[in-house]
Amino acid sequence: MELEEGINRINGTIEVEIQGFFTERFINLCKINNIKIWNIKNIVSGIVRFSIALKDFKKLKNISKKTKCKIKIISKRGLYFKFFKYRKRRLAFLLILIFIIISIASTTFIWDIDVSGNVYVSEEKIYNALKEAGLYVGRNKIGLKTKKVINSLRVNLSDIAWAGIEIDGTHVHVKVVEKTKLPDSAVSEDSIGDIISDKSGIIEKITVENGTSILSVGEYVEEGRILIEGKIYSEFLETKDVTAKGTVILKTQYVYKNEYNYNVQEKEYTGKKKYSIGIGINDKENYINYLDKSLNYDIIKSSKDINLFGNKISFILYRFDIYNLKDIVLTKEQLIEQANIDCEEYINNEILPNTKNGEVLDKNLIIEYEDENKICVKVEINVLEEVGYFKERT
Amino acid sequence: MRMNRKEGKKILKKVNFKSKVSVAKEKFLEKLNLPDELVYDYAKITMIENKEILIEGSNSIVDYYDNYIKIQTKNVYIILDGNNLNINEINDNELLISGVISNVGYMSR
Repeated sequence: MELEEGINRINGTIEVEIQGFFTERFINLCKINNIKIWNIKNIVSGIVRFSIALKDFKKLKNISKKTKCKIKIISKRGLYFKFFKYRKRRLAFLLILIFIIISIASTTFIWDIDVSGNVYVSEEKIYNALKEAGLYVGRNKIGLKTKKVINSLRVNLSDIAWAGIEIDGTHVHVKVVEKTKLPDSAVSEDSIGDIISDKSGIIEKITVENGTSILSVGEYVEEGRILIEGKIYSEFLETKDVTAKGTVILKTQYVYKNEYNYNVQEKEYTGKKKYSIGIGINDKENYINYLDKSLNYDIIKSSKDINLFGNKISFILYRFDIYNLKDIVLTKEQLIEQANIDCEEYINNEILPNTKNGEVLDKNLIIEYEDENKICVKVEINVLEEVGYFKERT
Repeated sequence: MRMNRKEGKKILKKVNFKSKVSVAKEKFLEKLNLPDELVYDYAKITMIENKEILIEGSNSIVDYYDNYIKIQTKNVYIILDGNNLNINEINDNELLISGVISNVGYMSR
């Protein structure tokens, strides 16, 4: 039924009024001749209105002759009549046509390329290699041979093991798999060299697999010192050069230091919010500013980005939470608690990600100095971590 | 013209046979448990409160006014009384009428 209504809406429907003595017969004849009529209303006796599809309208002529009813058109609806009305406005039709052609044509171009799966090969390198291979923003999709592009990409960038190109409408997703770099432990047996410390600390454990170490547990080593030497000394034989191998675990110390004030200002939200919209082009943002400058605001943004030929265009919705600044005095315990929280954050975000198999041994909080306004907190953090990198001897 | 006795018997036989066939047909259809409106072409009327009425198996419209509609079916006339009675749809077999229906009546043909 809905489909039929839709078709009628495009083809056009007419509301017709018939006037005569035999309106019932008229309706029955329509039914017999398979003419679909609907919404039949009796206005007064002898006058009936109904809707009919445009294609069936001509068939009513015979029936009106038979029943001696007069036919009158009340209204015309549908896309057909709209087009008929504006048929002389050729420029409008031309513009619509041009718009349709442009929108279809623009979908055959590549609007955006995104690369995923790369770790150590920079995106810029991949984009340049893709450009050389003939895949760039603004290129037409027609005639693009992805296999050729992939082959060219692999030839130009030797670090890439596999590449896949997926065209999704106007977007191109390039997935790459890099060749795995050999880990330090898998240094070839032929290269002769030593393991050198990259951090300072006290040796906690040392295991030599190949080479010689003169260091012992509990000794302090500085950064840059040889931990395991790639030589084997013998009383009877000549000294032999080998590849130094082994693991060294150091106890290193990190320091977290920060000042905390007793008097701080805290944000007190009033609960009032203001909204604004803005547009950003390549990280330059502009928004409708109607805010009162005497008040303080927290700005929360939510944006939708579009990549248009390499330019990032974002539509941004701003929310401004109004707050008042309130002076409060904290106690010493509260400041130390805050210092502990900040220190934990520092460990998790700064220290542990930069260590190899790092593990916090203990931490020691010291108040370095304090006066009426502030205290200075220093935290010494002892960490057990694996250190050392292989350096080839020249 | 006087009917021959033999011819009379022949006609009687034919009538008897026809009636026997129709009885057998009825019995057979009864055993199939088919709905009556399919077997005997009865009109089927479905009503939604007093707002809408769907008549399946209607033949034609006899009278149509704002407050009165008379519809012909195979066996009876259906007479509807009410206000603002509109025929929403009409096709080969069905008739959908909406409005405020106050009375549904039947009249034998």
